[in-house]
Amino acid sequence: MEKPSSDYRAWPAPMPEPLESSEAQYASRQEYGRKSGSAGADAEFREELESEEYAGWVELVRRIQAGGTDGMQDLYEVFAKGIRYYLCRHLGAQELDDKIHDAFLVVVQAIQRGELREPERLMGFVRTIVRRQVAAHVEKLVQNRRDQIELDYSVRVPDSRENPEESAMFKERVDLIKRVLNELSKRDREILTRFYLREQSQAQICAEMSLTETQFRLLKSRAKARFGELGKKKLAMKTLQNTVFLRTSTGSFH
Amino acid sequence: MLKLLQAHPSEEILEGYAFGRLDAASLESFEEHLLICEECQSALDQTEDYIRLMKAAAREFEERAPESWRWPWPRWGAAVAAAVVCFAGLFYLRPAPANIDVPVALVSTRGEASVAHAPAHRVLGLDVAEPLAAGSYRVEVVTEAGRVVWTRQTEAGSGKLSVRVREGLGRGAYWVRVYDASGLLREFGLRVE
Repeated sequence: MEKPSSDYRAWPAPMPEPLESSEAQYASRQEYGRKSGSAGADAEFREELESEEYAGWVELVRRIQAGGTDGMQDLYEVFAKGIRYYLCRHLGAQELDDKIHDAFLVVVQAIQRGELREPERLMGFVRTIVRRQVAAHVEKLVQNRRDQIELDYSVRVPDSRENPEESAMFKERVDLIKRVLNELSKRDREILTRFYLREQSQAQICAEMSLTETQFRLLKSRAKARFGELGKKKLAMKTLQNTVFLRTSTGSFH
Repeated sequence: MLKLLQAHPSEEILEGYAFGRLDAASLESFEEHLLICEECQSALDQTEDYIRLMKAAAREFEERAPESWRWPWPRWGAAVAAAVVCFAGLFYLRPAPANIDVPVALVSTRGEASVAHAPAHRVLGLDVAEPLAAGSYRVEVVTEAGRVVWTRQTEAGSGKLSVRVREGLGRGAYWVRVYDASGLLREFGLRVE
């Protein structure tokens, strides 16, 4: 073992005690890398994390290929919610369970047939399957409308309209945002209107309105924070009002 | 169980995705992350919700005159009213009695009438009105923003599923979700007032 330098000031800062989670270790190693002036430590550790994650996918694929149900169960647990989320966003909430099942089946069968050539790219493979499923469903809808005289009731168009209760709640929150906008200067209001309503990019807005990126981000985050603040105040006020109303209406006091 | 070791995407990435502005490589990377990260799914929902609110507000703001934004009463009047309410609330505020359950029947048909209503800060006895197979279920109460505020593992006996939310819920709109081993089974609207 190499003898350490006799000058302890030349030694790098000691590593903290081993931590349980990989995330905490990553944060700790980032700090360690900065303190020891090693620019490569962070990139190196990130690579280490990525290879650990890839190893996880490879192991999962191996277990599925071996035919054990635990592998398929793990695959389902990891991806089911994400697939549901993606399909719901693109196709609506109708018949989701069937679509998730179909996607899951395609993934498992492809893995078992050895079609997944890079097991470490399992996430990308699942994403591709799900995107194709969305595309196929949309194409089927278009085809049905084009070719069939009668409506195919098994292929439904999702109803994305809000119910009256959701509309009322949305309006209430829009009013809060309007209060936030009202508190801003005309220029700041224009910046946010350009970004959110006219969907202009940050780069375009900053260039045309002579803003730095930092100024732009600060304005956005201040507006968001103010909205959150107003929302909490409103909720607290309503809770208090309700409590007072309940106490006086029931006639009970403690 | 596999752990997610990738960094979570920034707010700029979330906004970029919501606006459909991500380049192909970023889109691929983000969507792959989204497949396995519930935290980012929720964050994306919140980002899109905020963008919708901002759009609606900015649109209305542009269309309406500034005078319509003034408060109907003088500010000092509103401040006095708020102070009176706060004072009364602080004076009379007590925890609600926790020993009496408020029964709430959960029905999953669509429409305004099927949203259950319950009082805030009371112990709630949630009963699923539809028969379920005997077995183990997980019940979650989720805010409109997708944040889980209450969860419990329970057993359905004789086809009935009932849970008791002892902590009570604050005012607002919630979803009550019932999961079995295969995933989400039922979802019910709950309005707490």
